[in-house]
Amino acid sequence: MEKKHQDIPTGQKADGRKHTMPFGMLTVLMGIIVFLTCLYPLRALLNYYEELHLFRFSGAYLRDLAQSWSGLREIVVSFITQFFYNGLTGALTVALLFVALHWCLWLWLRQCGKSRVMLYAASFLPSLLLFVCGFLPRPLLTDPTFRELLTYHYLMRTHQWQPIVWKAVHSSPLSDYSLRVANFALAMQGKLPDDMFALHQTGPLGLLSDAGTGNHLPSAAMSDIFLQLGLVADAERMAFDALQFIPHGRRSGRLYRRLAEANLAGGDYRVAAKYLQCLSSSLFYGRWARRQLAHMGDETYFSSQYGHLRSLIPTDRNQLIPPDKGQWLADLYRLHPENRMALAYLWAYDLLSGRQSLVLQHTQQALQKGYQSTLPLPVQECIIGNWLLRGEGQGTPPIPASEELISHTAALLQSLGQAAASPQAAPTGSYWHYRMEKEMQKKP
Amino acid sequence: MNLRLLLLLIITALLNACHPRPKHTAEVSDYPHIVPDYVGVTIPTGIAPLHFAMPEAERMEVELSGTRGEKLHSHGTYAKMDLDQWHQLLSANRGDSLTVSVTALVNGEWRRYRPFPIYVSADTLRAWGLTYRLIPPGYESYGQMGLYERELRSFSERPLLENSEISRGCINCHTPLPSEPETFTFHVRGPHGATVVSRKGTIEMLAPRNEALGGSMVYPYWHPTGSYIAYSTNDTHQNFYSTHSRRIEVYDNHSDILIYRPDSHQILLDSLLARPDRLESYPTFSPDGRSLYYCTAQRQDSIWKNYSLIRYDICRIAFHPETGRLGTSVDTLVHASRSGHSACMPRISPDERFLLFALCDYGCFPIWHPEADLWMMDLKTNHTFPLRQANSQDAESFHAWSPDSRWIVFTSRRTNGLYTELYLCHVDSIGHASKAFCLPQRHPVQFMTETPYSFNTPDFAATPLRSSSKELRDRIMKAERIPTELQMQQH
Repeated sequence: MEKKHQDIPTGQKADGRKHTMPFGMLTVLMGIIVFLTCLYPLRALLNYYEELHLFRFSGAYLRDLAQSWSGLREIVVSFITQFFYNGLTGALTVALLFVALHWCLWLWLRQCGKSRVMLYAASFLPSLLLFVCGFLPRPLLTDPTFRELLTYHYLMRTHQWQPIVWKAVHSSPLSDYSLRVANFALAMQGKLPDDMFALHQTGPLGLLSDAGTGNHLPSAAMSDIFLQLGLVADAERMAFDALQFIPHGRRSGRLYRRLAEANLAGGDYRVAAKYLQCLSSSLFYGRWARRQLAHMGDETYFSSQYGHLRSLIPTDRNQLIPPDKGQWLADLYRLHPENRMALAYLWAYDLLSGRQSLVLQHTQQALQKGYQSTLPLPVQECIIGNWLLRGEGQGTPPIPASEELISHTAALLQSLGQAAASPQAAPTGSYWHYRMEKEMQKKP
Repeated sequence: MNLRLLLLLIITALLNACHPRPKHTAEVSDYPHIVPDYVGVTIPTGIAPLHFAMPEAERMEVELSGTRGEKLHSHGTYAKMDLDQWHQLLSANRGDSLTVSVTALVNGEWRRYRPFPIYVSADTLRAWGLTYRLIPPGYESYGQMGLYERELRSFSERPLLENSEISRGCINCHTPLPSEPETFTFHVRGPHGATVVSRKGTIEMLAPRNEALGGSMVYPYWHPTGSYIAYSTNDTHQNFYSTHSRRIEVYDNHSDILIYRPDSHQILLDSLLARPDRLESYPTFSPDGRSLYYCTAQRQDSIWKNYSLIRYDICRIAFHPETGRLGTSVDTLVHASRSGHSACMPRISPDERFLLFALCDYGCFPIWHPEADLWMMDLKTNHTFPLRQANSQDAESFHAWSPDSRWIVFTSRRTNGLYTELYLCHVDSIGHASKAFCLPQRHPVQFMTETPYSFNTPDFAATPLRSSSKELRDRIMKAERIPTELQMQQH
């Protein structure tokens, strides 16, 4: 039996006819592996690539690019990456390309050699090399921060808030960017600032930042955050800054859509139309863009689409954004007390920047403006703890507080005080633990 | 060969037959709504064909007929003209007009619109082309931007320098000596920062900052002899609005004006134009080189809060080219702050008759002020008036004169309120402006909808630039920088 197997190598039938079935099955298997790899572990990478391109079925676009070799390459790459918009089509596209390239090479190689097994194995090499060297960016293999960044970005784009929080709780984010996304996920679930200290907070930059670095991801994420806060002009500004990081001056479907959305929400239809017209000839954004274009001038339609956002947009056209982001959030909340996300971010910002007097001030304002839910625990702990530390524990607390809360906070402060010598032993996950960490960092 | 020609003719005829042609047309009493808006504009001979489109039209049949003869036809999805025929038509009708008849297929119906005129000025545009910067909207980071030159009689555009060649630094305020395109200056920010000064093609890289001055050389203007450059040095900041109607406010915390002498690499800072209580900016030499115009405003404390109180006036001071020194008294020409406005970017017509400037409600960066308009002062009569035919509801600014003082080029955001485009406008001998027209583009609709860039700092160029972008790039990328020496003059 063994001898028979040796005599009839894979790919060659006993009667000498070409035998392609096992090879074909192996190719299909490789295709499936590539497909599953792209669909799961590399899904975030596909999303990243998709954001760097915008292929359009437009004669003008193709004509402009077709004038140079780099343009022709751009056409091919953009055409392929457009399918990455959707995980399934993206993974399928990469798998098909992998298989097609390998199979073409195999068909060519098998004409010119005798050792079919070796040639068949060799025919995988170019596809594999292209996949590893051309498709996987170096930082993905060498930089865990970049890997994490891609994952958070993908989860954020697909609104997977719970997985983001779960990930951040189980493994502390490696960068402020990732932490920003995790805090935003909490905000989207209505759990900011309640659960924010379940994450390892690093400071206000882990909440908000408008400085882009390295690639388009941080600015694009801030654009999402600003949009949800009702700051559509800032969402637009961050989308513009994100575009500056897209290589070769390319357009980005996702960022163009954001620019269109921000301008539609802001009522700037002339500018929105520019981006919509551009998007209208793309495969995956086209339908949405054409629908918006068809409704141009229909105020009722856009009010129904963007009514909530519009109600949050600051109305004072002479108001410049204050340099202090805390002040900015306070202004935003003052103008629109119904903007709960602005209040959540305001509290979180005050807590992270350690401005305890402002936490109290903004909480009192919120209570005056009719805030009726239970105050977030970190806010209560901050205010009551501060009140206790000032030695005013015998008087009336600055906010309504139960005996239970007061004793809980007192116990927390006491245990943190005892653990000051060995911070590792301190109970984590509270505002006061965060403060203790910050104080420790200040010490030489 | 003949067979091929025959085949080509047959294919062309077949393709032509496929295109619908007007049969029954409905008369429309209005002018067609075309983009760009070329209805009733005044153009020079030697300008590129005014291609235009109608957004709602599927097909267009356009006839341009000159009052003094010659005709031109165009049909297709937009109006496009043969370059040679177009220039022939303009030459034949110089000083007269063209009549443009548009028939368009709209919603399945052919409509014949009221013919509109295009006036061909007798004043020739005495410039080969334009130089300008193209930059996408963006505030904190620099992506793709560059300096370009464009031939006016065609659509030919070429990059002079793109920032992708110099590690994505910011390139700003390219300013040529109007009569000598090889003499220019611009500033580069970023890791390879420099103030680039080219005199007749000899390029020097100055250090981007002078520590004694406490800043860099920002808004430049050449002395007509090429022996001096007036720069302002600005501590510029930007802040943002949270509404779309106004996106950004750019303001100076400090600014002064200095005179740079390229021969000696010396900077003269005169205390009259470096007052601590005032902001001075946008210097401009008069064409005879004996005066310096600039704008100045009272400094405000807490500028971030009081930015809307900063209002600039336009002043003039004597300049002595023999010594490179400034005079001792300052004349205020445009006292805009008195009327609650801010006047900036003064530009004197080469015939020294007119002062063109931008007027807005406050500040020194009119390009971000929708209310900003172009205004003119007749220097003979001191009469000040707006250029109504050039202005729009959106911001107009960054203007420059043609060498013959009959044309201006400027930027305007009128198309969509965000992206700036270049407009040209005829100005007659008494300062009356004709309706401005958008710089022609080969594919007008594609350009308007797809270009991600805004234009700024346009200027006329007498000839194309001979310097290669490679040389510029190589020099910028090298570390060699010439330091400048500061001299103070106290009054």
